Amino acid sequence: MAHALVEFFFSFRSPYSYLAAPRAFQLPRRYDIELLFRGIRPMAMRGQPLPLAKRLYLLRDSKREADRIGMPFGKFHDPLGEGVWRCLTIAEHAATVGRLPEFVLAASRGIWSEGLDVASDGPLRSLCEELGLQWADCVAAIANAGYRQQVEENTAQLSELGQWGVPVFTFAGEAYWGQDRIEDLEQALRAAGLAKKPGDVAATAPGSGTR
Amino acid sequence: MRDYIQRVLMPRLLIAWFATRWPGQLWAALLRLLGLRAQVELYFAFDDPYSVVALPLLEVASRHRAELKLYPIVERGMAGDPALSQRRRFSIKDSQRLLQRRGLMLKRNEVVDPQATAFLAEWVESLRGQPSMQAFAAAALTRLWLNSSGAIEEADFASLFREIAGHAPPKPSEDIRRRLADNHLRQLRKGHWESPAARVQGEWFFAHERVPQIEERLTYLGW
Repeated sequence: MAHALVEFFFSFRSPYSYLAAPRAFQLPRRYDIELLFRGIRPMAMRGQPLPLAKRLYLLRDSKREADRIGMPFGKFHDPLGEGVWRCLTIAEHAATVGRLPEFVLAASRGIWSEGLDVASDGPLRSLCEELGLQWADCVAAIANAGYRQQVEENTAQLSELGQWGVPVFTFAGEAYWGQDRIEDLEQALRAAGLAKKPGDVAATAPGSGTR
Repeated sequence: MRDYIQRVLMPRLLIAWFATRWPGQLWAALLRLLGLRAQVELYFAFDDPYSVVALPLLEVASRHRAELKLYPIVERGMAGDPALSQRRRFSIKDSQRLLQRRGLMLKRNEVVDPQATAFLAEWVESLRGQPSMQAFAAAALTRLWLNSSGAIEEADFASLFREIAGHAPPKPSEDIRRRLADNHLRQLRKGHWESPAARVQGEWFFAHERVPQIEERLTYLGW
């Protein structure tokens, strides 16, 4: 039986995407859905203005929210530019070998709380290999024009939805913007009768139902 | 070196500073010794449905005996931001969901032209310094977004104004319009750009989605 689809628009440079990711990847365990990951280019690489006041607010609010939900945050290394592209393309590759949640969670945690410089080969290679990804495949993914095209399509699709920031979730034609709107998405999933029974949740492997 | 400062050093220093509570707590303790109350400023627009979602902030401020100053605005957002019109559209659906969490419903389901509600901002601004300012702002937002739909008529709100303020609403004036523009300039100068934004003892919050966090700030500052 085909599962209901939930799309998850994500940027490695968005602190709120980082804060949302662990809960997002848990959704297929708790609901009869397929979670479709859509990595996108960050605002600063889409020509959207990000004045100082907004940047400061985002950092401050993200720190508050990270503390509230108990996630590490602050030892940041900005991946803007090639670092972002490397993560986005390796994420596409990780999806093909069933390691997408692991890679997205580890890379975003590295960027936002461990000072990981994903634009450098050394740290990124260590991270990938720890997750069971072959470095040669990751290097090939970084150069894969098809993966970059997929990211461009994801980015265009976000814009077509009338959305501008991330994370954004879509379900049944509706968009849910923000890490703090996952509870509204879950409300819609429950209303659609998609909540799994406790026994089914226990039997669902972490990371399943995600592509 | 410049790259390192931009990508690593500055963001980490800022985040570390944002997480440091003791200077704020010390300052708050000093203000309390002088008999002063916590300062909360709320910048809000009547055409923004998120403003009605933010109303519980009034209760929080009162519970913590904070001095709440209202700043109605008509202009908002950042110049040249392409997301502005998208945000206006999305805020209707999002506000609906946020209100639903509290068992409330948005009755007005369409984007409102800022000029159509500018008279409400003017009327609220005309009450500055009077106790009825807060009561009228809350009642007008509630009537506008939760209890009415369709065309927005001044006459519908004039009786509400008379009931709460005890006199007729003011005539449109350049002075009040200038004061509204000043409110937005004051907001920009202090570091925020949108509605509804609350500045709580020097720290900004989006007031429609961070009321519990605002309350937490007032609590840890000792108010």
